[in-house]
Amino acid sequence: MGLTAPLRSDFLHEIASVPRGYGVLKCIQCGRCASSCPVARVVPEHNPRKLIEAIILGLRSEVVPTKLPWYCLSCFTCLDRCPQGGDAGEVMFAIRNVAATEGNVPSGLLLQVRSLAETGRIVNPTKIALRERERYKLGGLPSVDVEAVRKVLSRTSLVKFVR
Amino acid sequence: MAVRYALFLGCIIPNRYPSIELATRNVAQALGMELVDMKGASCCPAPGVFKSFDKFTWLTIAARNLCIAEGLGCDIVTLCNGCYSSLKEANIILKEDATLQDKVNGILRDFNKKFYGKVEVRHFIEVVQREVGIDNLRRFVKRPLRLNVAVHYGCHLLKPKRHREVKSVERPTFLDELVEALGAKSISYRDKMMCCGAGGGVRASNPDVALDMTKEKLKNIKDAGADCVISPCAFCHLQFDRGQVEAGLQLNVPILHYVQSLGLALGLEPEKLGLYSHAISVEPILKKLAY
Repeated sequence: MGLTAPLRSDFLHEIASVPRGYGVLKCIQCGRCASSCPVARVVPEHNPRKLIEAIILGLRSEVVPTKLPWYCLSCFTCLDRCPQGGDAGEVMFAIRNVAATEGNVPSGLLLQVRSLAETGRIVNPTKIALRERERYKLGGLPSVDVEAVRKVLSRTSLVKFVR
Repeated sequence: MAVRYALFLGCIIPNRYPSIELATRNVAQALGMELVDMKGASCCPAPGVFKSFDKFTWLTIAARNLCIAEGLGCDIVTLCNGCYSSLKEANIILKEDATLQDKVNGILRDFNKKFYGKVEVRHFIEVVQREVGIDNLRRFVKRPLRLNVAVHYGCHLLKPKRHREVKSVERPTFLDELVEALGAKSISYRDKMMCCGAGGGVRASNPDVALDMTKEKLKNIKDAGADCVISPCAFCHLQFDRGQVEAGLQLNVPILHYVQSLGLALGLEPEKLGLYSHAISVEPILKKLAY
């Protein structure tokens, strides 16, 4: 941690300006988020307090290109417990939004975005599921207006991930 | 019970667990609830995945789904906490924020849709609470579910609390009460409120981490002597059921979606509830219930 880093960094404001990322400005580094985080038990390096500290200190390279924000389960335990209303869980999404604009996205999630563009769903049927639908007389798969979904995607920032 | 709901099936139920769809349709019929299909609906979209990219896209895709229910003139019912989270929160955000609503409608206009904010989004659990009620539910029970059950709420049924109507987020009891009303015993177990491990896109991005969480949760459930898990969420259901196979666990803890447990208590045959389609066999509990 560089002691010479500016306390109100550009990076802090970059995260704060993402929708719902503003909660980062309220952080008092009490650590209740980290002690509440269930995933921190199995991935000790994922520590929401430390991630937010790095944002406050402007240490962009220790946050954005890493895997750390992608371990968040969005269980929102931290969000509900934050004494400052600081929304640590939403800050994780804000970091992901910034990382996504730079193309730093886990491949598993990218596949789901592409699937939405192709079929309108992120989970597509297995052969077993199709057989079960037949056996249960549920009819074919529910209809999806894929064209409409593609139109929405073409008008929003997600378009660059589906080409 | 003359009620009508737009059924939002989402992705997991029709494509991985048609058994839950079957159970839902049969239970709704038994309760006298009319379910209307949401023709053209897409993925909710999955909150953990799509909010990670861009919240406006997430909001617009959700708004399009909400418009379908508005066109049908009825509130939405979901059986997945993920779908519930996306649709409910998008509905609240759009109703509260006129600027965002205009921006979303600017895109929806391209295919003759407009968000008006005319419907509510409800979880199946809330529908049972509202339309049947806990006392009435007891009267519906024909075959009491004499089982020791580990109740799993799933995070997004409860959180974030600012977008939910539950009394307690940390120690809720409403689902335990709905399970006990069926004749079961809700047992206590370590870290009951812990996530199943699948949320936030973690199942897709870091499956090993997701399975580590699932393993810990299921071990705690097994140690407490539960006959099965009852969960109201299709995604938690998938993570617990298939997760045991994916992680090579030898725990054999059966999982029931709440709608399936309700169906059993109403006296519906296991085949009508898709109970033979689980990755982890539910035979031990059917045996205990003398089927």
